[in-house]
Amino acid sequence: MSNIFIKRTIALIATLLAITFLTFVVSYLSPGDPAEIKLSKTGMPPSPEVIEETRKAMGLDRPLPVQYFSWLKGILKGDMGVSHRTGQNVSAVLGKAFPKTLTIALSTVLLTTLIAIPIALLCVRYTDSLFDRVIQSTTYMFVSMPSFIVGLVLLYVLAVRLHWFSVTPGQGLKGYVMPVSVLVLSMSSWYIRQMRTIFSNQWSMDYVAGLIAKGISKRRVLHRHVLKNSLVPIITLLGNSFATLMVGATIVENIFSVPGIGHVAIEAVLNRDYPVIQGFVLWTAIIYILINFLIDRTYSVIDPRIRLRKGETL
Amino acid sequence: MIHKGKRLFLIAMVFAMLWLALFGQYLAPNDPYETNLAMTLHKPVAQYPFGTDQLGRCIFSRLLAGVRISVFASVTVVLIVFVIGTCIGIFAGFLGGKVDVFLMRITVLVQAFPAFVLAIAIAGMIGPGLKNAILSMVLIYWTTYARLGRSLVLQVKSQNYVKAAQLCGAGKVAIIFRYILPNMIDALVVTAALDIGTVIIQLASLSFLGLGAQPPVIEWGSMINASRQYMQVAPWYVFFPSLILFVIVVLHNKMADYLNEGLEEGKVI
Repeated sequence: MSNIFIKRTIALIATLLAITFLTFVVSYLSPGDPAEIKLSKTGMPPSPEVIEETRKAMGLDRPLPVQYFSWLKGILKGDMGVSHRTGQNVSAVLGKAFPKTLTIALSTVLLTTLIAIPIALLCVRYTDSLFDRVIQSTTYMFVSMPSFIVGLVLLYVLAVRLHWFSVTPGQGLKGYVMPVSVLVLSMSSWYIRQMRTIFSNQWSMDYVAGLIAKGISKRRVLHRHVLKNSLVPIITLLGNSFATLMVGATIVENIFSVPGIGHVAIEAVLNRDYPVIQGFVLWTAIIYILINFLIDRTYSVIDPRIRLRKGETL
Repeated sequence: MIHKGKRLFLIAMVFAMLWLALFGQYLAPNDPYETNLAMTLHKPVAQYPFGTDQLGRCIFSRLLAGVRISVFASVTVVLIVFVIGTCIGIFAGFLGGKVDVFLMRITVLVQAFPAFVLAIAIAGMIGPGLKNAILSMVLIYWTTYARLGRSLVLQVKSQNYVKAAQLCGAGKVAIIFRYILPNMIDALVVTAALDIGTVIIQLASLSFLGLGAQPPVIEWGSMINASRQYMQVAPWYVFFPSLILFVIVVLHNKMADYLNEGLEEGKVI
């Protein structure tokens, strides 16, 4: 165990602290008084005295560093504060949204991998064929299309025209079909393009020419060698996508009314519910750092060259 | 290599778009703000080529008025990040040392997070609105140019002609502006061109979520957001804004692809 590990851990903690501090300061400086917002929800215009009292009750009259440290202390105990809007515990709100987002993120990444890798392999094997060109233009179209448009088109075709789904959100597994389809369509298009580039780069390397000269079939070279050598960049990309989805597939959650993390975040933002926004940002930071750490680990598992190189430096 | 006819077509389309952004609102057949309660959610007719919205406003005229916001806001974002990011990149790369380490730490910190989530968080903390959406995009996108700019400076800095200029006694400012900047600007311009399409999508997405432009500002993302509850009765209301947004993004991406190919061949135009 080494200097590198200790250094990384310190950098990690520093990053997290910097993020918490920044979030806190920006919320603190931003216009709009949470006390006033909370009171205006009751429908009555509050008097200045009532606002002052509420501010005190919410701890908003204390100086910035005091507020920050009391917030930080709470977080270390797993307490992210309560929502200004609903009075619910922020950890509970995020915890409730988590399984929904996890379902979306996992199924999207799995389906995208299953769809994109075979298609990209075929594109490289039959470069410039009709199949390749059709895939190229279709994916170009989906990459250029904002996901909310893909979502609305799907909603129109499947719900309004074909009546396969209801326009209002479905319960249970059926409610996930449309949001996941939208994400898979957009994401696999992007991935097919990326993977095609990665595979083609490998395909033009000397070792491929060597293997083919030895009489090994193209198919086998692609599946056995090209795919294996492309795994590191692909896993990095997929890991990043997974992390992005984990912090909220905001747009589709919004269109299809899935109460996931992204939905919670948007609700909080529109209502200036700072504790929830702060919880969301912290959540994002933790998810990102964790997933990147895991991706880093997998490199040495799948690629012995990286394992050996690390062995030398450590 | 892009065919010459296609190149002319692309250039013509980009000029047409800029022209629309500048003068589009004068082409509108109707006042984009004028309501007509006798004709709400009406299907496309001669008077309203793209139909009307829930207040009887002309969708075609509103789309024309919206070009200005969507295109200008995105171009503004890209221009600002281009200038700020490049300056930071040049500083970091040219000065090196502690300045470099500090600036790159911040860059890495910002880049560690998905751009759109950060945009939501920032737009959320400073409040919804077009200006704040632009600000949040600026706060995120400068990092690309800072990193790219820095790596390019480092490449160019080690070239012999820069050393020769130093030996001849050229000042730091002269070296940056006369020898380094001209040799790295192409790659940055292509990146900027590529980013415009992305920024248009992201700004529209922010507006779609209600975090960007607020009514009465006419913006495509918020138009699409308003339209979706009328999808069953007035599909044209969703269709036309989505189509236009899509076409604009494809045009930008094609233009950027063309610039990119030109750069790879060693000449831009």
